[in-house]
Amino acid sequence: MPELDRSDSRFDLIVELFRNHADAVYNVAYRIVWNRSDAEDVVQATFIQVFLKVDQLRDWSRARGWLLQIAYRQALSILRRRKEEPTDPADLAAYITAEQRTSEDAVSNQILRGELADTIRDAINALPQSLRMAIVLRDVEGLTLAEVADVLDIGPSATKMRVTRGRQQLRADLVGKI
Amino acid sequence: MQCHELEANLTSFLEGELDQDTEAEALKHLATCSHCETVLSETRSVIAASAEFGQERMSQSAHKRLLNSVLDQLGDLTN
Ligand SMILES: [Zn+2]
Repeated sequence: MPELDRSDSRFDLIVELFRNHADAVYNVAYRIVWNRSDAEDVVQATFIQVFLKVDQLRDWSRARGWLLQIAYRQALSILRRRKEEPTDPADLAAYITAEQRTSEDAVSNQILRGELADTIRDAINALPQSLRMAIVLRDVEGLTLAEVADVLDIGPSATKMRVTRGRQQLRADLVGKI
Repeated sequence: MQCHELEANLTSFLEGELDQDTEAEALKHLATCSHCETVLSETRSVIAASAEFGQERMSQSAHKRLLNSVLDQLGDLTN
C-alpha cells in the first residue's frame, strides 16, 4: 500500500512538471534535432527519465534547469544516433527552412505570431549551435547563467562568452528589423 | 572605460554582476558614449524579442498526445 501511494504521487508530479515544462523541453530539443517527430521523442524520453530520477530533484525551484539538462542530453544522443543528417550549421540552415515549410506547427505559428516572430526565430536558428543553445536557455527559457552552465556542462566564463556572442550576432542580424 | 571593454562586459553588466567600481565606470561611459548606449538598448531589445518570440512551440494536440503517451509508458514501467 505505501508503495502504491508513492507511485501515485510521482504520477501527479510528472503531470505537473509536464504542464509547466514540456514546451521548454520541446523548444530546446527542436533546436538540436530539427524535426518535430524527433523533438517529440525527446519530450517523451525526457519525462520518462524525470520519472525515474525524480528523487534526485531536491530543490523544486531548480526543476526547469534540471529537466532541460536531461532534455539536452537526450537530444544530443538522438543526434549522435542519426549520423546521416546534416550537422554543419550552413547545411542545417537549408534543412531547417525545408523542415519548417512542411511543418504544420510552423504554419500555425506563422498565423498566430506573424512575420516578426518568424524573423526572430529564424535569427536564433541561424546561430551556430553553441551560441544558439546559450541564447535559447538564457534568453528564451530564462534560465540563470549558472543553470545554463550546468545544462551545457561548461564553465561560467564560457557560458557568459556564448551568451554575449549570441546576443551580438542576433543584434547584427536583427537591427532595423525589430 | 573604453567601448570594447564595455561590450566585453555587457553581459556581466546586464546580469548586475560587475563590482561597484567597474559598474560605476560602465555607467559613466554609457552616459557619454552614444554608440555604447545604442548597443545597450539594442541588446535589451534583442533579449526581450528572444523571450517573447524565440520559442518553437508544440501544438495543443501534440501536448495532449505526448502527455498521454508518457503516462501510458510509465504505467507499463511500473506494472
Ligand atoms: Zn562606447
